[in-house]
Amino acid sequence: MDLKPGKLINLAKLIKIDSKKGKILVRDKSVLILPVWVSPALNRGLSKVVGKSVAATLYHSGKELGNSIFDLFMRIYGADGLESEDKFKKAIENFLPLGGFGRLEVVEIDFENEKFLIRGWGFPEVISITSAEEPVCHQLRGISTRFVEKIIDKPCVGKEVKCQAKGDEYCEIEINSES
Amino acid sequence: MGLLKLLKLGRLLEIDSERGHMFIKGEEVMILPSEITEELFRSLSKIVGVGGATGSLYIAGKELGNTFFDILKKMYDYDVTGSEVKFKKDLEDFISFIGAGKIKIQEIDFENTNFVLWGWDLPEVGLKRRSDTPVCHIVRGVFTRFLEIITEKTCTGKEVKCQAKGDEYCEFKICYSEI
Repeated sequence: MDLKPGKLINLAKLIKIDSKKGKILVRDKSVLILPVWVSPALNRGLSKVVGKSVAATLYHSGKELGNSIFDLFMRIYGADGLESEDKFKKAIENFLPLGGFGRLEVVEIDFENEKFLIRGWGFPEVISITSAEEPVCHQLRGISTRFVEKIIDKPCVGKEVKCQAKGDEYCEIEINSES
Repeated sequence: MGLLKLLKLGRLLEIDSERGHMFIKGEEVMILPSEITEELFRSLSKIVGVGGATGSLYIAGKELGNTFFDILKKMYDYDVTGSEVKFKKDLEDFISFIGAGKIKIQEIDFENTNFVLWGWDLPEVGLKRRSDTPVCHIVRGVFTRFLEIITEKTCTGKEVKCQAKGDEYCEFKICYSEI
């Protein structure tokens, strides 16, 4: 299925509403429409309590959340052909913007050496931050790392090496297998 | 099933395909699997324990309350000096609109800073039905902040019943607090 993020008709085709329970379903999976400010607000709220551990907390919760998002991804695109680099790249680049996560480009896919490089513009965690000292896209780093783990079936580590919140032109996440 | 709500969603949702963003009444939104709330709790509990996770998510929920309140105001042309009846109707509709389940406001008294809500199928309950304690910490924080914004007083929110504990519905009691 080739989804273009701008086509509301495509999104509408995927969405069902259960009025009785007040739920929105995408391919029978319950989803929420949330303001993107959720991400920085969560970061702020959690920082007050856990301090600098917020980065690790959001990275790990991003990885957990990655399971659910990957499940949704498979329900929309199916597993067929994902081992092809072109199809994998196209599917990822179309899928995350469909959820309103910003624009994404898969710059490097190397299944053999288990190395992946993803660039993003306008990720939710960056919103309104322009002078951070460290990268801030912890949840999205977790989500994309879990995606790669699912595809190559190995534990991976994700590192954000550039971030728009620090003033970089784009966010860049490097993902490598742990081995 | 929910055709009118789907049409309403289609009418309100604007998509910027170029940048991969979506908006409702000018507020940027994203679509996420409902499990995000459970994943956050699980990840946080590993780092700060269950007590720490409970407090952190309540505080984060209060931060989120500011953002949700902005969207609520824009979507329903809500004025904080407006009637309790309108607020009740708008808030009940809003929660279903974003896919967060169903709520019914049982008591609403802005003058005496009192707010009692019942909820069904709220995101943090998920599929859980065997917790010993209530689990809707983020939602409790969001509702508490709503009453704080409207009354301009500090409030405390308690969840006295929760579907995750096996109760028929979740019940939140929010009132003025000196702390």
